[in-house]
Amino acid sequence: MTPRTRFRRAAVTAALLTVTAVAAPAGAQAAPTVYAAASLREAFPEIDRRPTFNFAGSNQLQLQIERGAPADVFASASPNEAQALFRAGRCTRPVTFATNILVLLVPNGNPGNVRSVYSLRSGGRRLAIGSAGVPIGAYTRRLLSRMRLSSILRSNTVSNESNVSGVVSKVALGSADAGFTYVTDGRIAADRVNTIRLPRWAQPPVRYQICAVRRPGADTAGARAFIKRIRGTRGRRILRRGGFGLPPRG
Amino acid sequence: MAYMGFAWVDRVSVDGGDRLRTHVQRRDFLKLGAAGLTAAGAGSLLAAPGARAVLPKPAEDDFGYVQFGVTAELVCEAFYRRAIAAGDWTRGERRRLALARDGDTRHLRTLNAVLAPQGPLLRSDFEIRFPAKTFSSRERILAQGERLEKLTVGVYIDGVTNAADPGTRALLARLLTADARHLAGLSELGGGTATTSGLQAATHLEPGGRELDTYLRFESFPNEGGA
Repeated sequence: MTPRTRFRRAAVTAALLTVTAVAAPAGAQAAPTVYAAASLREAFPEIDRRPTFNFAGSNQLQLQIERGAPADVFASASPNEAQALFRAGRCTRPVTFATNILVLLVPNGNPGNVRSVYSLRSGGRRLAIGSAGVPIGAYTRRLLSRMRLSSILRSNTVSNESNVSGVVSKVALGSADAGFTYVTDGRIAADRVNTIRLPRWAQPPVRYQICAVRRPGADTAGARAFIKRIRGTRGRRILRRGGFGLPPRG
Repeated sequence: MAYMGFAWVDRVSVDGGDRLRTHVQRRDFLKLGAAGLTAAGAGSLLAAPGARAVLPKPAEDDFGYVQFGVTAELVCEAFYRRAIAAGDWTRGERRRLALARDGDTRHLRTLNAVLAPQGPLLRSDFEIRFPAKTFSSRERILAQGERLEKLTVGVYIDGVTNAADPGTRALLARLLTADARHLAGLSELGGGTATTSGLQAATHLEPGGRELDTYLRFESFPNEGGA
């Protein structure tokens, strides 16, 4: 091996090392750990499949992050959870990236004969709703109080699910005659459930917020890159295709 | 208020002349002053709990009327905005419509403050649509305005009757008075009088909400889902 060849090899090796060194952070950026509301379980992996995802009720995820769970990104189905983490200094200022509306799902064949939300006034049916602490449960209770229908929570047999996926499962399996979910969940399970629209005027504002988690060892760059992808043109297109509403670009 | 007792005596003595002055002796004068002070004290005592009582704290299902109100006022505000821009109005008529619009903006703000714990309504939450040709003629504009105001007034009447919280009932009554004035104003602009339509009946929230929904769209949603 001539000195010239040795020099070339050394140069190539150095170049490779440099490329690897530069590429390594990029690789780390591409795979943050994302804790997201259960209603985002289809849309987020479609936007970016590289991160490690943990989908559950936003309140449960908030609690896990407060206890030191290794999340890099947090996306909640209502501003309450993300804002609470922000106030506690555990994440960056949350931004709204999507909106949603509530619907009533009934199983195929509609065995409970639920024609509209007002059908539930007669009582005696099995109703799947989120528990009060989880966003879908809080939104459902708000919607019902706005329609002066809170009494249906007492006149029907009500299950309190820990997240919206639980509500969808109950309805899809026929364990409930009806369930309150987001419109996006009705689309995901469209082969097993029918969607009944709820009045627009009574809809509570459903706003999704996202933030980068602040903790020692967090993949901040990866989190920022992921949030950028969610809020970018492709991310918005996929969210819209999934039935989400979009806030104005900001 | 305490001063009013004396002021009344002053005014009467000035206007009423010597006859009264001769009858109002020092003892009577002191009595009147004491009565004025008592009345003022009682008034302030009565006013304070009254003022506290009218603060709206909607009970569970009272939010139905507050939410309906905030959405209806949003639609009415949008109506007046477009009506002012589209119609062939005199300066006086335009001013009346502008006053109604500004009133609805204030109602919107008030109701949104009550709704704040549940998440206030933003103007961007809805796209507001009116039937085709609504703003094509003065008659159509006024007819649409009356329809909207009747809907709003009807549901407020239902709310005044059925809301559980006294503060919410009082708020709805105030809004009812203001929107009934708007309705009368529109009726007058159309050549009618404030009383031609008679006493308005209550509109229940379910049919009222169904009608209100016809003006609303979720602009940002590709599909609002379901039937």
